[in-house]
Amino acid sequence: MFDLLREGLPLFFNFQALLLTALGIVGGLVIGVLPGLGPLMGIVLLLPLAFHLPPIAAMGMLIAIYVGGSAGGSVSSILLRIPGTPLAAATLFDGYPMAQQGRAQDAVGLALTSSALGGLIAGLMLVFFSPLLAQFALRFAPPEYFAMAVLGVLTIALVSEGSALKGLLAGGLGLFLSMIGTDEFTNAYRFTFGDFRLSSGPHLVAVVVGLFALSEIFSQLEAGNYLAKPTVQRLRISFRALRLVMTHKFNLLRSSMIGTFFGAVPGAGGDVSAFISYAAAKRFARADEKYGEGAEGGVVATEAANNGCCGGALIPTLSLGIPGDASTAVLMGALILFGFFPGPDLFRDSPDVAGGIFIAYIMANIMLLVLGIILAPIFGSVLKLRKAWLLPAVLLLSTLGTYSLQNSIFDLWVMLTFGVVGYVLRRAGYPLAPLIIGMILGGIMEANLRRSLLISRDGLGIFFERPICATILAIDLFLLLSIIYSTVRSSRKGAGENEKEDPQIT
Amino acid sequence: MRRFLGMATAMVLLASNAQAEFPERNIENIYPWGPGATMAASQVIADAMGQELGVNISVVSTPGAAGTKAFQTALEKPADGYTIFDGYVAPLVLQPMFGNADWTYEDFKPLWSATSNSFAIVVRKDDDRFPDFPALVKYMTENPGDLRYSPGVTDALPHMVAAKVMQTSDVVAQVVPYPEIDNAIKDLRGSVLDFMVINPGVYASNKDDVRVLAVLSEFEGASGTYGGAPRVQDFGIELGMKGLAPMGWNWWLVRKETPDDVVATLQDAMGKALARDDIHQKLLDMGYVPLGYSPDQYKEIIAPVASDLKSGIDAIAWEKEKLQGTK
Amino acid sequence: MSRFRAHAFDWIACLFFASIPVVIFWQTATSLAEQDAASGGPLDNAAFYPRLIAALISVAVTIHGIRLLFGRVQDQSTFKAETGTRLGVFLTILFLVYLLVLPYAGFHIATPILLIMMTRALGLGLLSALAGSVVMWLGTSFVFEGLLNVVLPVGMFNITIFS
Repeated sequence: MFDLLREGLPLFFNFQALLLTALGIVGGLVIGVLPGLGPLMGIVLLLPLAFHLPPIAAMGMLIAIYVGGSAGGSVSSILLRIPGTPLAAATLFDGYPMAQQGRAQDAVGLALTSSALGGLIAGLMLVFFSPLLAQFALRFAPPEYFAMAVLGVLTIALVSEGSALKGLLAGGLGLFLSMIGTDEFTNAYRFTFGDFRLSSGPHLVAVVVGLFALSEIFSQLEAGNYLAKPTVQRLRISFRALRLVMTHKFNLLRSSMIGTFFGAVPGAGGDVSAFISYAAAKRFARADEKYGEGAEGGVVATEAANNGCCGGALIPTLSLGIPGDASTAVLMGALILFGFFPGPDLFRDSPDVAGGIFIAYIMANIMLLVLGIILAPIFGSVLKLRKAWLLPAVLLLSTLGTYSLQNSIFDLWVMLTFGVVGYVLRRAGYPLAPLIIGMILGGIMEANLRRSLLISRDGLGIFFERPICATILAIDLFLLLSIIYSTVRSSRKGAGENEKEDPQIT
Repeated sequence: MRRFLGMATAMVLLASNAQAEFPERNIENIYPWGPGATMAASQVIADAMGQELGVNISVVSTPGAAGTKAFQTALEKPADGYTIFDGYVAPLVLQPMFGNADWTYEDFKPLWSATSNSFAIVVRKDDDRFPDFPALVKYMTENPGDLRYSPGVTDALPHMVAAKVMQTSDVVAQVVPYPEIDNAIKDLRGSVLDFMVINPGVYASNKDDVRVLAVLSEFEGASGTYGGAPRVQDFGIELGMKGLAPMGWNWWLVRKETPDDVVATLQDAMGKALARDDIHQKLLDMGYVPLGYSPDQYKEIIAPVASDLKSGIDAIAWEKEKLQGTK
Repeated sequence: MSRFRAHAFDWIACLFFASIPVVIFWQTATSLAEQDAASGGPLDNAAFYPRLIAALISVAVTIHGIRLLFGRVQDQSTFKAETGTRLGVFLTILFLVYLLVLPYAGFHIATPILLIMMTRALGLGLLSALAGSVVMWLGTSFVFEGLLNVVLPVGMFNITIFS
């Protein structure tokens, strides 16, 4: 493996490649911060530019956009309560409360350093365990995906504390949204009401921007005080975040591993890994850590996982020639464009390129660490803006970011619709994140259920014959039972308290 | 406000002035599938064509409804040459034949044909049940409906060609759809699927792990993209489809109402872009064969394809019926 | 009645969620059945999984509805106008109008107008609202149209600035 890295060194370490990687990180961060555009669209939009660059410099830039874009979404989650990308939807839980407690800079610093460190841990896995993880990924077939998707849906109950029922309903809406469009198996139009613009369903990102950004803008409008100058903690460049993150070593390591794993298994993505890692962190948290009220661990868990996922997704992409997610599919397309076919061939025929890509990925994360620390106060200064400026700017950026996904005005209507839905759900006390989980996992769950049944010759037997699948299903069952148990118990307790409190309210 | 209005008027004037010289702004190519290697092939052509025209051509991925969403999106835009259809067979010819779209290939003005790719049937490299294609056919004859295969999505071209070949040999296997073909190849390598229909791009990044049993094309050149593997007919087995019909290809188009001088400019630019040696080579390296058909050949090439595809659609219906019989 | 008022938004949300299974069962029985995709095995049946989910949602909605009806939901969600609610509704309608005219007017006409109206409505002075809106409009146009090569809605006048 070290030979590979040594071969790649001269290709990567030249002024142009380093500069483009740094620019890619900054560009990626900005693209991630803006509501709407995320790492995937960042890569797609800048791919034509990459055609005219030497391969490693171009790949360095694109990988940096991937890394930066996956981290940037957290910044808007923390500062504005608007996830810049679906990846950062879980960062809201604790990042925003942290900012509310006057720890905006800590939260942003923590998010970016955990992203970078999570990415670096995944990078080590990429360098040392690629073949192993890739072989494991091959054993993940439709039944395993189905079991994993069920696991993801069950985490909804874990992340929507206090109102598991409302969480499940919001998740159900997400599952419904994932069914809209052309059915993959029959090519029938499902719930499109004859409108071709719905034939691929509502765009996930348009839904996320509407739910979070537009409903947040409206809530901010309701609150008034448009011209008041916000008081913000003094922002400066500081290495405090690095020290903070080190107090969450185990969390960081676990979350990065979860991210790497989800990345390495093609089909599941960074967004899912962020939620699952958050749920895991919450389960294993110390009693004094208040998850959902500004716990540092929550930010570390989600951000380390979703950036760990980038490194993870590169594993099957490079070693099997099978992209780990949509973004790596485009990266792979770019690599093919330069005449290099990912897969074992690449390591044999062009070890310098394979090594160069490894180095580019690792350097991108190091640069994210450095630039993140430098840029955190600049991002934080958004909070100094008066609402009269901030709200129109966020609206404009949301509109542009959503439009640019498919150059579609229809997506803007989707965004507005879900802005209204988001506002109503928020006022009614529904958690919004489960909706996103449902929408992401719904398609995976249905397609792999049906695919499993097609592959199986004896109906449901396929789910129990395969050891990995049976194990995950057993975990699913255990989780389900524990959720039912704790819900029933807390609702009994809750009802008791309710009766006690009632006289005081009325 | 007045200053702003003044600016706006100035811009309108500027814009109407510009109409004399097409193109004055960036052009969109509406691409019907998700981002990935195939989209990169379109981006290569778009990039080169944009250089000829002096503007940027951005490829916009608009997947959905087996490719027809992209066509419908592009049809809603004005016929001014600023919107190009990336006319893949599925939305251009196939889906209208399924009754899912109300246009025919004659409703568009053609630019140049872009690229083509032939399909091939592959198995795992170490799968010794099937030393060659006849062995696969024999296995399917003896165990009808037992093997599982994936052509990517259902009802698309690769599915059709596979169904056709199986129909001519009167054998059947269980089809398992995978919208992302990369996941299908993963499951083939993980022994969940028995064989697959793939394209050259997928083959190139999985060469070490799959073995090509038969190339589904009658063109001799098609073997070349699959490392010299035999074609179906080399085993004396009928493919049942001719010429371009069993292959994937795309032809760039614009709306029929587009002014002739605009179409001519676009045709000229695309012709020049495709004639460039570096572009030609780049596409070949990626596994996409530039077709090189000029706009004048559009009708004579596509008309026979359309009629041949009818038999493919029947083959899918046949496969469905036959599969039900094996249960 | 007071119970309905105390949980107004909760009731709206509950009705909204209750409509999902209705839509699923209705569409699978009509549209999907017409497309011959509502019966058969996993390959042919696009309605099985939606119906399964619809059944689960129905159960959850029913439980939640009963809880609401018997006052077992603690958090209140009344219709209560706050200082900025009227302005919020006005600006939402403004944005709706913006989306309606965007395809015809084009990005470079509709957007500065939207921004100026919005910043003015939020209480900024005429001059700073004007200047700020132009900066925001041109700045974002430069990034999206110029750097990222996105074709922004050109409208009937075919206006672009940075492409």
